[in-house]
Amino acid sequence: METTSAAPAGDSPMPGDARMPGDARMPGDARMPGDARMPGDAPLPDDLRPGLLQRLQALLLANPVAFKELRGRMRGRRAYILITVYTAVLSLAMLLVYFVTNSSSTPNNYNSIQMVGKALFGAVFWLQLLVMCFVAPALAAGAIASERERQTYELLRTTLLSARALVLGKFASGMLFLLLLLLVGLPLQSMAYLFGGVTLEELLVGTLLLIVTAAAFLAVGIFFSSLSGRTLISTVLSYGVSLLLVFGLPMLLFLLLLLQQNLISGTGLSNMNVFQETMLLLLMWSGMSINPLATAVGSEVILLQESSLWSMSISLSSAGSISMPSPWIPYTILYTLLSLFLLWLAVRRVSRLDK
Amino acid sequence: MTAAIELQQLTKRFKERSAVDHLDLTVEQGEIFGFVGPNGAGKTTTLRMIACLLAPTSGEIKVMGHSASHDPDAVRSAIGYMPDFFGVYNDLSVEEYLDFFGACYKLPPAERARLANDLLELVELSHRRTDPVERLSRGMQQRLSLARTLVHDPQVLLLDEPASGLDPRARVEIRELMRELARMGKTIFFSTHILADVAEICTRVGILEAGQLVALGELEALQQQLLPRRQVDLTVLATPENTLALLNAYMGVVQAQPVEENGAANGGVGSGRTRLRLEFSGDDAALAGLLAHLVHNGVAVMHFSEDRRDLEEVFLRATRGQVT
Repeated sequence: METTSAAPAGDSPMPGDARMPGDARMPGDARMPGDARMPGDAPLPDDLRPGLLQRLQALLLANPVAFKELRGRMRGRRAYILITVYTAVLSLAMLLVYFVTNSSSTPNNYNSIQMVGKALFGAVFWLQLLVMCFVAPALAAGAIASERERQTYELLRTTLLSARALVLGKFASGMLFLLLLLLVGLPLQSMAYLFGGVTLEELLVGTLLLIVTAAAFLAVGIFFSSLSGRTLISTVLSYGVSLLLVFGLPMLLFLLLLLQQNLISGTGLSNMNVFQETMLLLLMWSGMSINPLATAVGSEVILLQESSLWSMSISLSSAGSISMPSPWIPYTILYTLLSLFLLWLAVRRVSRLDK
Repeated sequence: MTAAIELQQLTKRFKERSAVDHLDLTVEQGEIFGFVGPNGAGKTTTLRMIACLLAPTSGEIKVMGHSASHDPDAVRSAIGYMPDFFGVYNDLSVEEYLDFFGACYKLPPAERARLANDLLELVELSHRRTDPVERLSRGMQQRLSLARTLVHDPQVLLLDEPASGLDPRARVEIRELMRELARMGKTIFFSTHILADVAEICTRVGILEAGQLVALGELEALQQQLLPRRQVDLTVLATPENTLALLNAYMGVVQAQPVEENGAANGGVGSGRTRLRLEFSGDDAALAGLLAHLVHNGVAVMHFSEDRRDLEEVFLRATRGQVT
C-alpha cells in the first residue's frame, strides 16, 4: 500500500481512471450516474501505458476503502452537480477575465494578445487553487470522523483492515476526486493557449503546485479527522489551517516585508554582514515557499525575469552572489513532507487501541 | 479441544471505576452462551475487549487459542462482532455493504460475490439486495448486521444485545438465525439484559453484575439453585375450595391461591374455570406427580405449567442492583 499516496500525485491520467475499477469488476452493477456525463472523460491514453494503469487499478481495488469511497462519491447527483457548478464558475471567470483584458489590449499586437493568454491562465490557476483550498478540507475532514459518527469505525476496526489501508484509502479517494476537478479544468486551461504567452513549463509547474497543495490540504483534513470524533470540529480545524496557509501567511509575509524595509532604512543594508543578509534572504525565501500563492508568483517572476525554471542568483550587497532555488521546489518538498508526516500521524492515531 | 473464548482475570478500569473486575470465563466451542446482566454491568466492555477494540487493563483474552494481545489479527479473523448499533453507509446498497466488509477481511472478489448471495439468502434479504442500506427496517438492518459478522466465516460470534429494539417477530427471527448458526457449528456468545431471550436457546448462562460474574451455569441449574421455589400456573374446571384442599395436602406445595381476575377475562361468569398459582418446592418428578395427583382425584386440569416469568426472579436474585 506504500505507493497509494505517491501514485495519485504522480500520475495525471488517474482521475479518468477512477471509474475503471467499478466498470471492470462489477458488470452487473448499477452504473454510476456521474460516469456518463463526466466531462473530460473520453480520450484517455489507456492503451499507451496499460501496465501502469492496471497496476494503479489493482491497487485501488485492493483497498476496499478507496473503492467504496469512490463508489459513494460518484453516485447520485451530488458529484455531477458539483462538477457542473465548478466548470460553470471557471468558465464564467474566464469570460470575465477575457473581456476585461481583451478590451485593454491592442488588436494585432502579439505581446498584448499574449497578456490575455497569461491573464486567463493565471485566473484559472487562482480559482483552482481556491477550489483545492475549499474542497480538500471538506472531502477529508469527514474521512475518519464521519466513520466514527456513523458508528462504522468500530466495525472497520474489528476487520482485518489496517489503519494504513484506511487512512491511505481515504486519501487516495479524495486525491482522485481533486485530480478529476483539475482534469476537468484542463480544457479551460488549454483555451489560454489559443492566445499564446503561456509556456509548457508554467502549465507543468502550475499543475504540480495544485496537486501538491491538494495533497497537503487533504492530509491536513485527514489528520484532524483522525483526531476528532466530530466531523464539524475537524472541518473547522482543517479549514482554519488551510485558510491560514493560503491567506494568513501572505499577510504575515507582508508584515515581514514592512519590517524588512524598516530594517533597511534604519540600519542600512550595507551595514549588514554576509551572514545577516543571507539569513534575511533565507527567511524571506522560506516565507515565500510555505505559501502557495507567493510560491506561484515567485516562480513566475523568476521564470520571466531570469528565464530560469530552477533557480535565480541574487547578488548580495556585501560580497558575491547567492543562488536560490525557484520557490516551487522547496514548496513541493515541504508540502510533500508535511503531507506524509500528517498521514503518518493519522495512521498512528487510527491504529491506536482505545484505552 | 481449545476453548472458543477464554478470559483470565480480565479487568478493565476506567479511571477509578472497574467496569470489568477479574473476570474468569471459559466458553467451549459450539456453545450458545448467554451473557446476562443489568445495564452497565460491563457486558459491552467485555465484548469490546474480546473484539480487540479496547485494551484490557490487565488479564488475558484467548479466542480459539489465539491471544488478543499478541495476535489480534488472528482473533479478528476468528470472531464476528455485532455491536448493539448498526453502522450504515448511506450510499451503499445491501450487497455492496457486504462486499465492502468482505474486502476488509481481504476476501477475493469472486468469493465475496458468492458469499453475499449465500448470506443474503440465509438472513432472507435477497429481495432487497440492491436497496440502499438506510432504507431497511430495523429488523432487516439487524439481520444484515448479522450477515456482515458472518462474511469471513468466523468460528465465534460475539453479539451485543442482538434482540434489542426489535419487535416480537424480528426477535423470533434473530433467535431462529442464532439457532441455525449454532447448528452450523458456530460458537455464539451474546449479551442481553433480558433473561427470557436467553431461556430458549442458551446452553449456558453467565450473569454479570458490576463487572463480576455472580452466577454461571445451565439455566435450569441456576433456577434450582437460586429459586428453591417454583411457580406453577394452573387452570382447572373445579371449584377453588376443592382444588386448594387437594393441593395443600400434597407435599412440596408451599402456598396455593386462586388468581383474582376480571370475570370477563376469565372466560366469563359460570365458565367454571379456576385459575390458581402455587409455589412449589421440589424436583421435576415431584412436580409431575402433583399433576398426576390432581388428575387422579378427578380434577379436570386445563392448564398446568411452570411460569417462565420467574426468570426475572432469577435475575433479581442473582443481582443485587449494583452498578459500577
